[in-house]
Amino acid sequence: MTASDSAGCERFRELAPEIALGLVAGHERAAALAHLQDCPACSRHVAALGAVHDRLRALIPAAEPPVGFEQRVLDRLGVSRRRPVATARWLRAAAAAAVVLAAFGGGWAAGSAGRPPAVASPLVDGAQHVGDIIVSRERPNFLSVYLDVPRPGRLTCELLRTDGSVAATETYDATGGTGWWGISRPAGDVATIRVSDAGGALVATGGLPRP
Amino acid sequence: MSDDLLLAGLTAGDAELSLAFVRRFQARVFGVALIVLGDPALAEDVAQQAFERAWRHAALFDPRRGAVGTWLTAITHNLAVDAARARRAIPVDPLELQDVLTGETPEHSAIAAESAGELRAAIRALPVEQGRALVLAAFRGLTAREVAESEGIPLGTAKTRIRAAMLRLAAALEEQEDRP
Repeated sequence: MTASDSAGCERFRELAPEIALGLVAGHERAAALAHLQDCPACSRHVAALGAVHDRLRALIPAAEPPVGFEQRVLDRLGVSRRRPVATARWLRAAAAAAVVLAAFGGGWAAGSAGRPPAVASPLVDGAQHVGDIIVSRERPNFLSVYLDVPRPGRLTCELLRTDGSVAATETYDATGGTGWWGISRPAGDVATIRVSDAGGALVATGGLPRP
Repeated sequence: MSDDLLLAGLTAGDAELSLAFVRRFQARVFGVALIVLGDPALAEDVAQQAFERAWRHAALFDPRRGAVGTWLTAITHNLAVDAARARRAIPVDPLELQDVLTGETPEHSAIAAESAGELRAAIRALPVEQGRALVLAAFRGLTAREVAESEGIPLGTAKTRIRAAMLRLAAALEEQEDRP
């Protein structure tokens, strides 16, 4: 660390508690964030203070809201009283999508009331449902792929056109368990997805969801 | 069912899972809004906004960075602080708030009782002026300048009190984590 770095850290640490509490704005905040990008030590310091803030907030006692609160929230979101078909699949798909999109900095932030912000279709191995393909309505050209990985190893994920030709390829090094990755959907008549293992054997296939 | 899966259900528009999500977190969310705003009607509005924001921004939730409850609490707290500023809500007295925070373990606290107890003890051990500055900054969202104005002290003193309190609590928690 250079002398100027050290001075920068000293100035930053003066401000770190207020940064962690979200009390700093404008130019001062911009300068602090720029310093954080280049300084892992200060970054860890702010993260530790941020954790203190989280734990302080967790001390706030719970309080029961007025009667009918939950229904007013659901009405505000426009959530239907009808349970969607294939909830289990949706649930797994949406959980995977949330993780995938977060990992890829995805933009699944906006949705219109009463309309799920993403659609999904199944990945199958023969008759067995082994995963899901999810596409956010806000990012229709980005596919999040979730798969119950049968064994660790490199997987190749191909997007196929209606004539069977390959439109895009992505590889994923699976460690077993739940695997998920993202792949961009190219323009054109891409219709299906095929996942194969390192030996070329088919692992899963499925049709692409239509947002 | 895990919090993460209920959040996924909310995002997917599943009515039963959305209801379960709201029921699981509503007391915590409403409690945060109420303690910042002190007005049940305002607190309900903010609590509803918090669930809506969670629904809209579920993709930004990163399970590697913390629990759903912590994330939702932070969303609620930020909204409540903004609402308090915009509507000039009547603030809760900092000492009263400190008493509430260092009282009995709340039923819905995200922290295990023992861990929360350590944090409460650390708050109680702070010098009074530091505890007040901490409560004003960490819960009411007052900047150091606003703490200075509220307490009638110089800006530098307000900054020092906030910083000292936060560092003491961080040290107390670190010591607790290092303990075998």
